[in-house]
Amino acid sequence: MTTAAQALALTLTAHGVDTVFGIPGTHNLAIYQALTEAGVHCVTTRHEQGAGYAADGYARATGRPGVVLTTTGPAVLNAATALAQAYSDSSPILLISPGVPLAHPRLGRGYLHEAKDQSRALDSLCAWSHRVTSPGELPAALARAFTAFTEGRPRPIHLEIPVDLLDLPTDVPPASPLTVPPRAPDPAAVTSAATLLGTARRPAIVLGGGVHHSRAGTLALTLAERLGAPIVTTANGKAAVPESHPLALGATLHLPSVQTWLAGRDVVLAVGTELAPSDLWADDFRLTGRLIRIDVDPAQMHGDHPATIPIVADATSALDALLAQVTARPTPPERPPLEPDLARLASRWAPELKAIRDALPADAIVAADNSMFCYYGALGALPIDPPGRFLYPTGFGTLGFALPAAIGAKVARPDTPVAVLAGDGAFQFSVQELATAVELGLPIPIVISVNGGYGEIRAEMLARGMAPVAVDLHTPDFAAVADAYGACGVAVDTPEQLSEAVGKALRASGPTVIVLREAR
Amino acid sequence: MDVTATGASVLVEALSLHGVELVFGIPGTHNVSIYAELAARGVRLVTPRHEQGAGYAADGYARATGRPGVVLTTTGPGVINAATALAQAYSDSIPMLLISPGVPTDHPRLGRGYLHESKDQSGALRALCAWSHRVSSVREIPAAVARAFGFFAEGRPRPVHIEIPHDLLAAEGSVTFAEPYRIVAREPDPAALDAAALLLRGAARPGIVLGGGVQCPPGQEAGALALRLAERVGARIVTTVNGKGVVPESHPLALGTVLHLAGARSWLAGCDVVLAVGTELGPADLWVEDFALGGRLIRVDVDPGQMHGDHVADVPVVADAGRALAGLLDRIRPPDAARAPGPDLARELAELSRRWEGTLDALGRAMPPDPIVVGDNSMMVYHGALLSLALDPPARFLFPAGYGTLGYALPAAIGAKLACPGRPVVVLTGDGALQFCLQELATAVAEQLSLPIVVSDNGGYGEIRDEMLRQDMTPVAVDLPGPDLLQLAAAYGVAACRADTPEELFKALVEALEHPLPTLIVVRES
Ligand SMILES: Cc1ncc(C[n+]2csc(CCOP(=O)(O)OP(=O)(O)O)c2C)c(N)n1
Ligand SMILES: Cc1ncc(C[n+]2csc(CCOP(=O)(O)OP(=O)(O)O)c2C)c(N)n1
Ligand SMILES: [Mg+2]
Ligand SMILES: [Mg+2]
Repeated sequence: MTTAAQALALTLTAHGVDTVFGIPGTHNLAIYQALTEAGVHCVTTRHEQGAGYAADGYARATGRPGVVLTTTGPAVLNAATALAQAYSDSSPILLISPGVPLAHPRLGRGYLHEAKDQSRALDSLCAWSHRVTSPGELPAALARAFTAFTEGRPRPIHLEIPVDLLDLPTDVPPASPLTVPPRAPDPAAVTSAATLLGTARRPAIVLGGGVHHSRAGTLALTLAERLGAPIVTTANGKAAVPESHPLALGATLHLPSVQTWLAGRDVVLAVGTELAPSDLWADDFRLTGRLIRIDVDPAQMHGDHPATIPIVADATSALDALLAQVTARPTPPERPPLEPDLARLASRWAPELKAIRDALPADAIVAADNSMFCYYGALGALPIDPPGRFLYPTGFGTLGFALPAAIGAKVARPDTPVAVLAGDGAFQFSVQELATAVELGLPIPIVISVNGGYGEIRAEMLARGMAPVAVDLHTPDFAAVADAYGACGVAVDTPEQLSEAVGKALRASGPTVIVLREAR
Repeated sequence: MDVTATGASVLVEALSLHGVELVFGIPGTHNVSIYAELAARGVRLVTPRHEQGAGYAADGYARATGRPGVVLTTTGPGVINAATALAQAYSDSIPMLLISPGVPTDHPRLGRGYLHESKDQSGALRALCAWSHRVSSVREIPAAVARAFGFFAEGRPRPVHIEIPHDLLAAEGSVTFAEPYRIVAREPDPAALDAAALLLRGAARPGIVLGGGVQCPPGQEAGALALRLAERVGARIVTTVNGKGVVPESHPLALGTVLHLAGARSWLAGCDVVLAVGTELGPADLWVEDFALGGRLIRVDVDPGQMHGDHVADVPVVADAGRALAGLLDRIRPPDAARAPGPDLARELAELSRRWEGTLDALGRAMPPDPIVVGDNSMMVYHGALLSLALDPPARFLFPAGYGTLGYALPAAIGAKLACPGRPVVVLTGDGALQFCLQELATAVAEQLSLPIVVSDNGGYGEIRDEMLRQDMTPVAVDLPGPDLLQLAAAYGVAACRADTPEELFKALVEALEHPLPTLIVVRES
């Protein structure tokens, strides 16, 4: 006999959960108690959005689900943006929250933390949101969530537990994890794909975030070498293969030169990617060659880029099968002339990016925010090698992601260097999480590129001939903010100082905010 | 007459027709054209550092003025970042309009990985707001805006979301602008008033409960009418949190905001007739789930949904509070009845707020006339100020009651101060709550607001720590090493000081009220 809250905690630990990100509140105390008894590490953020992004960073850095625990109501919605971000980037996150009591009237009665319809709001943003109705259902619901993360495209899930159930006894045992084997490809599709690739004269490979999830990077690289096919990745696929490799074009799918080149390939193999407008930065990109798509999600086979050969399967299984049939027939790789494009976008930050590159190991984890410094700069011009990662809020495009995501990643992989790159606008969306990083003693260099506000939007306003409004922001003295939080704060003026500061920050006992003044 | 214009221009014209002069929001790629039109029309644009701040600021603006607060975000994360504020406004019946772009008109609902795409943005907002509407043509925009403002006036005000597919913002359409509707407040049913008056006249132990519905729309004197009625029938008045200060809390008949005190509840349960105006009588106000009245209940509310539920009305009066109270006064003539007995709450009051006694006494003494006090969900506020900081109209107390969010006070105060620059606005918050919206210190400085911010610092989530201790649990996740608040304020260009004694707090608040910019005052809580 356990309480529902204990059954919850035991099922979580049975599924390998050792860390939970969240904030306690009146409705979730029983869960906190059960988690502590079960030895789970509870990381407390200063806003639930931070818990959501941290869980996302944890999930991306490990491939394991990130778990968020909030109280009912405002706390759930505070995490909602992070869930929607995880939805667009296929990150496995489980949000556990209490909800109004079982017998709560749907018409509302002015109960504390009552919303019009909490789980429907979440269901509109997550893969699904489920409200359990008895303590005995809880282990099953949790097990269902964990299998959903492995059986197909991982996406966030919300589990709501009526607050009055948490202390009720149940004799339903905690659920043990099920193994869901990865989906194998259809052999006929693999044969067609292998034949097509074998005859390709100008093949190319596009890798997305699905390759990370399936840990298929090495296989993809072997296939590329066998074919002589250059590899381009999406933002989420960045560092799936070593970006230092001669066949790797980096995360450059957004460059016009790369798109022209890709459109001209006779065969394109796209693995674990949406080939989405948010990756292409264009609405109307079209391929002209034949397209082989490998994806766990059948929905990816249609849409903007219908697959000539659809392979609905796990990336590792599919690439394995392909490698068994594709013989070495390297075509001389034909690279796109992407350097001018890249320079046009990134030159403003080139010395800084090089300085950061020099100070970080090649396989570091870089958490980047939705700021120009990151997507014009680091995305294409800061190469990373596996098992390093580039954690970036791609599809949904939120702000304030990088610092909390880095906290989650560093908690998950304490031995890997983790750095944050953010703009001054983005950083302010989650500045309170400095306190979390200090509390946990995480040696994270946080490089903030200061241009006095929302630089991207300012540029767009100028481009449309309007006088900039609402973009030039009063910003705090970021180094002083860092000091106030008990972090270290430094302003740097030269690439050398930047490099030194990043290097020092990696060896510090807590986070360091490194303030970089950006030329306009 | 038809006019041809772009969606963005049509939207802003429609907003201007409805008197919108100030918009809270953050620009983004999808809404830049709206910003261009707003700027061209001279609408004031206030930019917070997180859309949650825009939402709470619009809420503070709306509570302080009774006019709808308008929020403008970009698609996706901008919208969802404001969601908590909308849900807060929903629970507290605040008129708020969120305008956002959405994915383009022909966007496939299955998704395609478009920037800022989510599974179902308006579905999410529909589950939190009164309604969320996605227009499908430029021509529909004026109708949608008019409908939103009409909705705010016609009944229980609640937040509304209008989504405009972002391709429509640049598209041209031919539209007709409607004159803003003039919606007259709902008159009560005379028969219901007769029945209510009969009950009240015959009551031996009448009691009155006033909620947020009496506050709005302000200037309509519903509070004054309620007080006169109370005098006429000799009834004590208790208010909910949202009703705080709607009648002078210094008046002998006013018990204050004490609905959550056991003594007040048992008194109310013993009243033979209760008149409840503009209140849910919700558990979030009563702090218990199973409160039941013993006498007969007259409910006055614009929302017919309030007549049933936990406390079923014996005499339901579905009407505007002011109209109904005036109608009751017509029916209950002088002379005033003798005062019915009230509860003795002194002991309970003292017990609950003892921890903040010195602090609140100092705040009360330093408080100028007619302040707008904006409180967060911290113990100093709901155990302390709620009870022992007595306010008389037109003073206001803005607090995130029903939904109970954190990080409300600072941004809501920014909205209130922008709405009422001539009035003193004071923030009361906890160290935990402040961290939820800390970035808005920059907004308060940028807008050059004179704003005292009193922070009660107890090293974390004190309420939750207490609850854990009460449940014999070792506190976890509640003791938070916080920033050095004084240093932090300085980093934002905010004046700051520590107040270790009530005298220091008194002085600090007096000075802060004179200071042209925000001042952070840190009070250490034992
Ligand atoms: C939550 C959210 N609000 C607004 C936007 C729109 N937006 C996109 S980039 C940007 C500016 C970010 O500023 P900063 O991080 O300083 O980067 P910069 O553009 O200055 O390089 C804004 C406001 C968004 N993407 N997400
Ligand atoms: C968004 C949100 N998250 C969590 C909670 C749960 N909660 C209620 S009070 C509280 C503590 C607030 O701390 P502080 O403002 O310092 O006030 P104190 O309790 O210390 O007086 C918390 C975490 C909530 N109400 N809203
Ligand atoms: Mg910037
Ligand atoms: Mg506190």
